[in-house]
Amino acid sequence: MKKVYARPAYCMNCHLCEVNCIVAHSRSRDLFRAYKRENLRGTARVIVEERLPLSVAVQCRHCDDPRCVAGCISGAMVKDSETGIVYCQEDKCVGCWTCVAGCPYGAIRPGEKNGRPVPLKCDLCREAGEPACVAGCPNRALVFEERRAGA
Amino acid sequence: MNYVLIGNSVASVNAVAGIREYDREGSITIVSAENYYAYGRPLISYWLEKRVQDQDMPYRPQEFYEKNCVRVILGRRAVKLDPEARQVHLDNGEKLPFDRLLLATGGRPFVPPIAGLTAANYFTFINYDDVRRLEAFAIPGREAVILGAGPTGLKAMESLVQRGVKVTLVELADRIWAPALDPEAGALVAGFLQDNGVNLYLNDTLTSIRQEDDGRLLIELKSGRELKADILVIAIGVRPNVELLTGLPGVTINRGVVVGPDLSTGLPGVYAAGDVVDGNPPLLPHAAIQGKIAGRNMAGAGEIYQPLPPYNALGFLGLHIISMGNSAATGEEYELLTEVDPAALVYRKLVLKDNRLSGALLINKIDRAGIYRQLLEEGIEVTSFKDELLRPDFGLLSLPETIWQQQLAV
Amino acid sequence: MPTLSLMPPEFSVVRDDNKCIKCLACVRQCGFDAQQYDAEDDRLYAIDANCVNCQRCVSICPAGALTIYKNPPPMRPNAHWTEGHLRNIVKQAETGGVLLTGMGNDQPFPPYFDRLLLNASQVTNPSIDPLREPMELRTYLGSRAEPVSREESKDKTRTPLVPIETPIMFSAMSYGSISHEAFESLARAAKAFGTLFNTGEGGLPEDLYEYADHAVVQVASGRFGVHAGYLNAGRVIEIKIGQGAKPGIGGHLPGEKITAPVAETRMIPEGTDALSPAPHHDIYSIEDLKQLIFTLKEATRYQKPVSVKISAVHNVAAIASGIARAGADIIAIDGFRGGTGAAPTMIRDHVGIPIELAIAAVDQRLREEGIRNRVSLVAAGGFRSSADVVKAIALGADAVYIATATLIALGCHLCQKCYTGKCSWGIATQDPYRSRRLNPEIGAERLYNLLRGWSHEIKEMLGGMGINSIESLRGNRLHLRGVGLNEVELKLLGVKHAGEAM
Ligand SMILES: Cc1cc2nc3c(=O)[nH]c(=O)nc-3n(C[C@H](O)[C@H](O)[C@H](O)COP(=O)(O)OP(=O)(O)OC[C@H]3O[C@@H](n4cnc5c(N)ncnc54)[C@H](O)[C@@H]3O)c2cc1C
Ligand code: SF4
Ligand code: SF4
Repeated sequence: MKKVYARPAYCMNCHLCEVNCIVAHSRSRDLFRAYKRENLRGTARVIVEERLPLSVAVQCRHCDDPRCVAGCISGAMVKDSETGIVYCQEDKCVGCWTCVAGCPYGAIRPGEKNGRPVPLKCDLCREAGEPACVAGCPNRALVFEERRAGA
Repeated sequence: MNYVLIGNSVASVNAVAGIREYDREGSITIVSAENYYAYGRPLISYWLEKRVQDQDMPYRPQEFYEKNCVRVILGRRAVKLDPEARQVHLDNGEKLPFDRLLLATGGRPFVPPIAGLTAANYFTFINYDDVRRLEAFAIPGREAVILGAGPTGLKAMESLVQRGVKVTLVELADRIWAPALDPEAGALVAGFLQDNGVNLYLNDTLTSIRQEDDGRLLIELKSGRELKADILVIAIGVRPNVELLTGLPGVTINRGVVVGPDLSTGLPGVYAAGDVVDGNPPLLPHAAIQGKIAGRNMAGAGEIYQPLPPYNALGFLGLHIISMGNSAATGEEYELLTEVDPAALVYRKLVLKDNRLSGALLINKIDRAGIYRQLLEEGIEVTSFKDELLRPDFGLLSLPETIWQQQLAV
Repeated sequence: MPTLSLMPPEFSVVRDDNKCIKCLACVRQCGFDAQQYDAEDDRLYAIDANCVNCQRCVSICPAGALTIYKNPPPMRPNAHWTEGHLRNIVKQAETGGVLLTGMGNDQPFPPYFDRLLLNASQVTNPSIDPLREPMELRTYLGSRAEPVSREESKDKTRTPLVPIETPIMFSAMSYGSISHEAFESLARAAKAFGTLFNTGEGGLPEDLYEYADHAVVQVASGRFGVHAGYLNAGRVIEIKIGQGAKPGIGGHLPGEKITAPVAETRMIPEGTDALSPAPHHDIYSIEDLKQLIFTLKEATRYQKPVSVKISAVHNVAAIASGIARAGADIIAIDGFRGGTGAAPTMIRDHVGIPIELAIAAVDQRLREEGIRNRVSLVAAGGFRSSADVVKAIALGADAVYIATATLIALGCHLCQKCYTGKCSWGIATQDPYRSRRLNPEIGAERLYNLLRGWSHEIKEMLGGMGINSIESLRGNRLHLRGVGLNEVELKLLGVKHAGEAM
């Protein structure tokens, strides 16, 4: 499947992928509303890790045998059998955070939206074509491509 | 191929997925003693609090069974396994032939003999039906005693507290959830509970119960203390439901059913997965992963199950705990890395043994916890990045470059 | 530092809090620590005094919340004591040092390109549509045989001509003064477009030898990175005598920029200053130059044309004549607007002559002496557009070198702080945190686009003049007219005034 791959050599630590992710996962899909009305600052589903000069955007690897799905106590976390995308049916999530303990990449963070728990994890912007982080990365440090046959 | 799965829960449902990865044709039948399609068992406490409604209980949507062509027999118990005839007998006399059988019967609550205890005056906390029954009793202002301050007791406590019931926890050990919490963390959590109005009696247990004339229960503790309560919940652990296999040739039963690396039981074509398996921590991820692998193997995959150390996320009343491996360890042979901030109720402890992660306990700061789990399961040497482990920005880049490069390339 | 700062900051960083979403991209990207964040108070603020107006934050801010304003002059307006002079004096009063700067001369000297206009065909001679008819921009660089013959030359000392697909090459910018990423962008774009880039005086990094076939490899007074493999790998060898931004001055790349890979490429110890002497210590005459030219030709078995680069100075025509006679195949002349990574401000702003006059003078002189065919003439120094290129060729150049324009294409905002090594755009820096901002893949695309756009415009201008080949424009000054130029200037440029007929 097509996944987002980071190219650390060109990641410039701007964290705009996080910004674009937040906007893409907001109700309004508008930068100002997302931050100023929906209060979504800090809810990115991609984490830019820093060990300067190195930085790298870490996000869900959409595993073949996802631990987050295996551990999900409510059945909210699923892997779409057609697209391979691992995503959370957010209205089913109860916020136990077993997925947080499961993900080998630490790619799920516990989050909250309107008083409800939300596992902050990448869903490859499954309703859009290209993930927002990739589309908005100013330095092409993120690419969305197929690398392994069958993966 | 004829697959019969006994038990309709996490292990079973994942076995269906596992079978279907390899066999789209074979017929699959699930036998469920409970009258429900599989639901997230841990959801029962959320249901009781009304954070989860009936329609959100199912673990998988109805289409799951249709899409995978699964016949589900609800409300029927398997009572006998005939290995010769390769048949399972149900409690209505029906006989199901099988080529492959999965025992995914989980466990049932252990209820100790206590003077005065009758089926009518206590609750267990493991089934949908348990909480449906409990619902009518859990009324604001009532008082409940919960025996056992482990994960189940704590989840029961949370849901009752949220319903306005006054809760007292009675625990035999010297601290809450002793297998996972060390004394310091136990004290931290105990303080948190007391601040939330929960009574806690440690080093104590129930000796007798009596129903008073007003219908309330008079509960006597070993310490001599007497408690009055409207509700008694017993939550001191589960015993694997192994009866179907007991006494059959080739099967070994300890506490649970002993399985080989491929999760087979020793009876040809018979596999087991989940809480019923001996030595498997009674935790949902483990049941799911075993179920998936057992299913694959029933369909001929030949996959090995690598026993996983326990890991668990437990939250109650806004507190979040992730524990894994040897999380309660103290003692000389371990190296402990800790970060404690009692005011913020933050406790982070990593247990190292021979420079490898052997356990972790994280309270209220749980970001990136899965990375620790991975280090622990893979037994990775952490010497070169030990001082990174508790940094606030701990992450993949804390690991040696070869490791994170590889991980990001997945 | 004095306790009392005599100068207010030159720029103000203004943040619109209504727009700012506190993503902190500006803080992370500012190369000069002007953007700051106070985590305790969750507050962003700016240290205006650090701002150099590089505009990185403005460009990166996803909310468009930032504007940099130039502060009003810190004094009563004074046409003689301008703000620039004032700031320089104060700075020197504080430091006692030589003023340093980067990029090219920014003073308001008359730009001759802007006083020259091109011709176009009307009625009597038809114009050509480059989209319908072939239009040749390919240019051959090097020394042409005399007399021209159809026979293959027997002369084994004749170096081959080098074709470039457009009369535009990338000028020398050394690895060390610019980042590996910027350098690689240039190399990739040159190769993709079929033109040449210039290594500058810092050698060619090992991993970029795949682009050597499109490289002009420089040999400068410091001889950094020069070895037989390097000379033989390049397409053209260039002896660097001078540079338009600092004629008569050597180079000094501070030790901080000599990182391990730079040191390896330059073949000097890591962390030591790379000093290029003002003159080549083996060249004190045209005869000495001739020796070096032929040494290099011998070393490369006469397979590489040799270029000699000088800055445009008062006596440029005579010097060029000498260079041509010394056996150079190409003469590159860098005008006084030429850029640099670091130069003393006074030198940059007050030494040299405009490239337009230099081209005209050199072309004229070589023609008069009958040796114009012996060399190709490459002009450099401040080419801003395809029109500048066309005018330079009409004045007599064969091709041009562009540098500042390429850096602008890569993101440079002309803040002139190249010499600090802190370039926010990842160009003039060796700091890996900064240089990684320039993805060479993107850089190469942008440079390619620039060449493509300019080349297309050149074709349109040629077509308009009724010419179908860039060769036919070279030195064809009848296609130029001056506006607002005096008699002397017109005469030196060899052009008529606008309004005068053929
Ligand atoms: C209140 C509660 C909270 C929990 N919270 C968590 C948590 O937060 N995280 C976590 O990791 N784990 C948690 N667990 C544990 C987790 O639910 C179990 O590990 C998991 O459900 C085990 O799945 P299983 O399929 O092996 O067995 P079970 O879920 O126990 O299912 C077994 C099923 O088989 C049926 N059955 C038994 N015998 C027969 C028979 N003879 N014929 C037919 N059917 C039969 C039973 O009725 C039952 O429906 C919790 C458990 C409880 C009770
Ligand atoms: S947007 Fe791109 S360059 Fe910026 S931090 Fe994210 S991955 Fe790195
Ligand atoms: S969140 Fe983690 S465990 Fe789940 S699919 Fe993504 S990478 Fe795998």
